[in-house]
Amino acid sequence: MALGGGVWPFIWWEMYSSGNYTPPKRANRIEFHVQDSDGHEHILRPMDLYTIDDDSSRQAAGYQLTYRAITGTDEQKAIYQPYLIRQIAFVLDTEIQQIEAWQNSWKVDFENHPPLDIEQPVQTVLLDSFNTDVINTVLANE
Amino acid sequence: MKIVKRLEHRYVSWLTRPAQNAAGRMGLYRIIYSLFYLWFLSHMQFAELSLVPTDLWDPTVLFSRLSPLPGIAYPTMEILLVIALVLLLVGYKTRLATLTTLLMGFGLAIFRTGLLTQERTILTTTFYVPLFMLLSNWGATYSIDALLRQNKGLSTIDPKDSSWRYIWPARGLLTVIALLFLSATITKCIQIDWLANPRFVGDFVLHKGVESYLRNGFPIHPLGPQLGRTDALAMATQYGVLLFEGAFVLVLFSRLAQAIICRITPIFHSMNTLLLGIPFISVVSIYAAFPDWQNIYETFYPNALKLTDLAKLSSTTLITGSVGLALAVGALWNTTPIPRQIFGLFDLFNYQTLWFAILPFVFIWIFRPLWQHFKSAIPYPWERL
Repeated sequence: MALGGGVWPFIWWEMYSSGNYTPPKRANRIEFHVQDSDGHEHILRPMDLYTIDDDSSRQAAGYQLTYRAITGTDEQKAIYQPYLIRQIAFVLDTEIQQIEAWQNSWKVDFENHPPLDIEQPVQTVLLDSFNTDVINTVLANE
Repeated sequence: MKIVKRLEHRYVSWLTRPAQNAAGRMGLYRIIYSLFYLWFLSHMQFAELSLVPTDLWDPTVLFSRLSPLPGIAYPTMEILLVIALVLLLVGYKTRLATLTTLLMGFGLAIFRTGLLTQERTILTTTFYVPLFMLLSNWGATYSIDALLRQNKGLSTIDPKDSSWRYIWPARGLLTVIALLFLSATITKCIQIDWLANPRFVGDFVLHKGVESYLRNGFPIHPLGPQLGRTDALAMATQYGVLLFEGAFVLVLFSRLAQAIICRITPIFHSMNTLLLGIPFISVVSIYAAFPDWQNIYETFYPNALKLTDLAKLSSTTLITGSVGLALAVGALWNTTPIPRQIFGLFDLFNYQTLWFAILPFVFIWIFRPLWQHFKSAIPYPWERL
């Protein structure tokens, strides 16, 4: 953020000035299937985790937490899963019982519109599943 | 030395040139900026900053000595910001309200940037506008401060006052946005891709369209893949964007360029939102400094909605009402959904749609002077004072 875009807040706009962008043939996204303490089910995406929006649509904060809690190393998961549970509980304003993280994958075909059918993923994989015992243990130790 | 003197003379001439309705424009801009900022805040819950893992704290260089604050600090700053914005909206203690807006808004931006997302565009709303306006007199018109002066029998400012002393901060903001666009062009040219890779924008549109859809819910418009896969359209867009961003700096030197480019700019951002899911909504707060709101107010604002009866109220009532309103909105901001719903316009607009809500007014702004000129030989706005 220093040389790459000025010395914040004295900035310049170097966004999207370079990069190796390729048209995707496949895309995926992690989804959280959440069960609260009343037994209700909710579906959240990383973009739903924070209200402080990313004005260039990358939603970096939500994805960073998601990747560290779900696909990170065992050490990262141990650290970030409690934070994920707590963030989801904040968003839903309810107590959380269990979270399942599913990865949906789609084929992208720009010949069609829309280029991917969000309702019809070609693959759905359970990446991880955990419950609030994790956060209770970690928070008790903090 | 001669060149320096000429440049200095041109700069002073530019800065001190009168602007039609300068005083009224800035007073109305104050109201619009406050409403926009409150709308912007209505979607955000700053309490979530306290839930971010502190080992993700990555402050920017100038603020590297700071540490994350205790959790209660963020919603407290948020409420103080809301109170300041309501006072700014009504125009009571305007300079203090502007300072508080700068400190609280920029303060929250520092921690938001260090904890969640390193973003630059937010600075247009949280830093540049309140910084320039802190030095302005945008509380001189359409404000409780002006009514209090009137009640004391002091002279008040005519909204039609064209003195440069009211408009110079807007010219400062115009300089900021012009330099930002110029920096975008320069970095694009330095990085070479935009110049040397004719498929750069085409591939970028295809890639970013899918990314914005999955990561942020922006629907993929059919025009996006069409443009991305058609080399002629993609290249025209690529070099057209370079030309537009590079030409933006001309707004500082030519009134004709300013009139044309300022009208094209919302269309540019609308297309970025439509094709890429990049709304850059925060820049609305700077662009709102440029239209002649006084002229628009006189032409379009219904007389029935003008708050002329405020002038009949006593100073005590005006002060109590202003402070009471600000405190009430601040107190309710995080405890009930009502103020967020009101200032959020009941979710009528969001990041995906705000530019398109502005577009009809932009088209009126574009075509009205043309229509007036051809119909009645009225000079174009940039030909008048």
